[in-house]
Order: sequence, then C-alpha cells, then structure tokens
Amino acid sequence: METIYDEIEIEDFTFDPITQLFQYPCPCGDRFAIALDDLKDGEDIAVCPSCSLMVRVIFEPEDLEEFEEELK
Amino acid sequence: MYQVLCCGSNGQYQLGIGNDTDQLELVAAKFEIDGTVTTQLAAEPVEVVCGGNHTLVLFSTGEIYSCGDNTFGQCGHQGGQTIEVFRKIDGKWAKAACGWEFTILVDLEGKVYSCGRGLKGELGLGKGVDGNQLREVIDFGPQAVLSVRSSLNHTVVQLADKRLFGWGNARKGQLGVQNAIGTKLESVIWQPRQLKFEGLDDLQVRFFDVGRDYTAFYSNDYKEYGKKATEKVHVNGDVVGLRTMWSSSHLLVKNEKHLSIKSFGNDSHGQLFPQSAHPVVQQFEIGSEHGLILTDQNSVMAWGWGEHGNCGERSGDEVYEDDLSAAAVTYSLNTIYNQAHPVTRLGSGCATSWITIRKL
Ligand SMILES: [Zn+2]
Repeated sequence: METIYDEIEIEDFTFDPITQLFQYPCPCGDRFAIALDDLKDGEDIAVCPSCSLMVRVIFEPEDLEEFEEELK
Repeated sequence: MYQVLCCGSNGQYQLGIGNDTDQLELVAAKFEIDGTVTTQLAAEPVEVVCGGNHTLVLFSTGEIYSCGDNTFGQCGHQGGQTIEVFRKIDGKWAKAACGWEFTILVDLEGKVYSCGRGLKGELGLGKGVDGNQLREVIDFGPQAVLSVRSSLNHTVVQLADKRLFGWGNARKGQLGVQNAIGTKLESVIWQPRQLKFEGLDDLQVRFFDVGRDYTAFYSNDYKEYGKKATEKVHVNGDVVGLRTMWSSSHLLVKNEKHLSIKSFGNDSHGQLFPQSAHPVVQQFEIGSEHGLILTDQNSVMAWGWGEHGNCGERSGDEVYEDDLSAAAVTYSLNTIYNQAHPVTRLGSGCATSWITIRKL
C-alpha cells in the first residue's frame, strides 16, 4: 500500500507556466511536482524526484481554470 | 578543538563537505577559515540552523558560517554560486533562523537582517524586494530579541518583553489573526508586525516553534495555529521544551528526574517518538520529518523518516521487499553516534542531521 506523506492544497503549490508543473517543497530539500495535464486527468498524487515521499493535491476541477488562463 | 559531524541529504552541498553526495554515515563538515579548509574548529559551534538546502553554523564568538544552495543569496553571500564548504558571513551575530530559501540573522545590537528569496513575504522587506544581499528588516534594540524561529515560509520572533512579531506566509493562520483586505483575509504579512493569536496570552508563552504551516506554543497548555487543527493534548509532567517537524509537534517532558518526548501530529513515517523506547534523553533536536536525541550515554539516536541517510545506516538486518516502502525508510531510534568525544550540540534540518563534538 502506498503511504501518502501529507495532503496539500493546490493554492500552496507554485505553478510554472513554462514547464506546466505544480511544485511544493519536499522535506528532503527537493520539490514535489505534478503536471497540470495530470491534474486535468484526475491524478492527484505529486511525487518528488529525489525521494519516495508523495503528497495528495487537494483541488476541485474548477481550481484549474485560472492556471489554464495563465497559459493563454 | 571541536568538529561538526553531519549526515543526510546533500544534493545542494548543504552538508558543507565539498561534494553533493548524500551521506549515510557521519562525516566532518569543512570550514574555510583564513583561507584554509579544515574540519578542526577552535571556536565552539553553538547552533546549527538549517534551511531547505542551506545550512548555517553559529559559533560562541558570534561568527556565522554558511554553505549550500545560494541561488538567491540565502547563504548570506552574494547570490548565484553554490557554497561547497562553510564560508564566513561578515559581521558578528547573536541569532539565526532559516526557512526554505531564506535566512534571518539578528546582530548583537538587536537589528534583524534577511536574505534569500521571499515570494510570500519571508524576507519581511515588503513586496518585490530581492534578497540577494543581507538587508536590515527591523531594529528591536539591544537584548530585545529572545528567540527567532523560521520554517518553510514564515518567521516568528519572541521579544524579551514577550511580545511576538512575525512575517511571511499567513494564509493558514500561522501568524495569528489576519487583517481583512477588501472581502478577503490577507494571505501574506510583508513586513514585521506584532502578532495576535486568538486565545493566547503572550506573557505566558514559555516555548514556541514553527512547523511547515503552523505555529505551536506551550504556556500552561499546548496551542497551535495554522494548518493542523488543534488537538487536545494531555501531558503528564513538566514541559521543558517544544520543537516542531514540518507536520508534527514534540514536547520535552520532565517526569521526576527523567526527560521524555511526547509527540503528536503526522506519523506517516514514524515521526512520532516511539513510546516503547525509554532512553534517558539529555537533548533533542527536530528536523523536517525526523528527530535526534542525545542520551546520558553520550550516544545520538535518530527516529522518523530517514531516506537520505539522516537517520544513519540501519543497524539491524531487516529486509524490505520494496526499498521505498514507508517501512523501509522509517527509523525507530537508530544509533548514529556512540564515540567517546563529548557531544555538545545537536542540529537537524531537511533530512540532514548534525552533531557537534569536543575532540578529546
Ligand atoms: Zn523529496
């Protein structure tokens, strides 16, 4: 079974319109990341490239609209 | 002579050992002193303070050395280059605190300085100020600052008269009562101001610390403000210390003569102090998601999330089918130091562990 380290609201992530990634600090020093497209597909687990920790992103589908606006 | 030993996460040279490889065993941090790189320290290191990927060591002389990620100047040196071994920051300092990508320093006259990156008000300098060099934030005056603590994005200062000041990310209530801006509550406190926490009498606060997005206090009882919902915490004995990981709180409790640790909060990776163990605790320090104790036997033990070697190498012979399962990266009081040199201080950061020793 996967252990989720914590749940983080989407407002706390930083969104980079160029990479289209949402990122949030990981306790290892690196950052959890998840792509906007993955969130649109209903994925909600952000992973860290440097360790095994995972967080669940708390969001509503309509929360994504403002970020899609940023891409236009 | 003293040495600063360290292990753990090191992807941005935050251990100050001249390479960027994670360390599973303790190694001696390197300091550039008067042009020479050495691990032998004449002055006593009195505190190790850790940011997201940078580290500061404060000495009894008031000198501070820093290393690690310096992209935004968070090491107190002109921003850009990574600092691979500890390098001295100009000036003499009384206190230091580090957050994710920023550093707060207090000088001997009570002036507070900041450097690094602060998109959520972490620098306390107002909106849009770059922190590529140390800048004065506020002047509290000589002997006025009792304690300063920073976490991910916020800083809380306790003054000698017990007033609390703070700045940074305020969205979850971690900086207390938020002012209204139009129809919304402010999400950032951009410049230092006195904080008010509902139901908290500042004068009674004995200990406080800052978690990832909350602030915890102990006066006659435990209170916390921010992301975690306050739980009713019942403590037997005298509380003599309080420290927070990013998502859990830890009280040092004195029962008759013994010190023990009572933890509460997130336990996804064994962050809560194992209640089955009864080592005689003398000191403790808490990192992002792990902790360290110094026992009466002069040994240092680590517990919690230890994926980067920050809880040392496992001494047992457990075999895990999945190396990255929570169990495989969780530690329960693993001994990381048990040599003869007296341990003087502990430090603990983002998956990093620090032990200062006096060389015999
Ligand atoms: Zn990580």
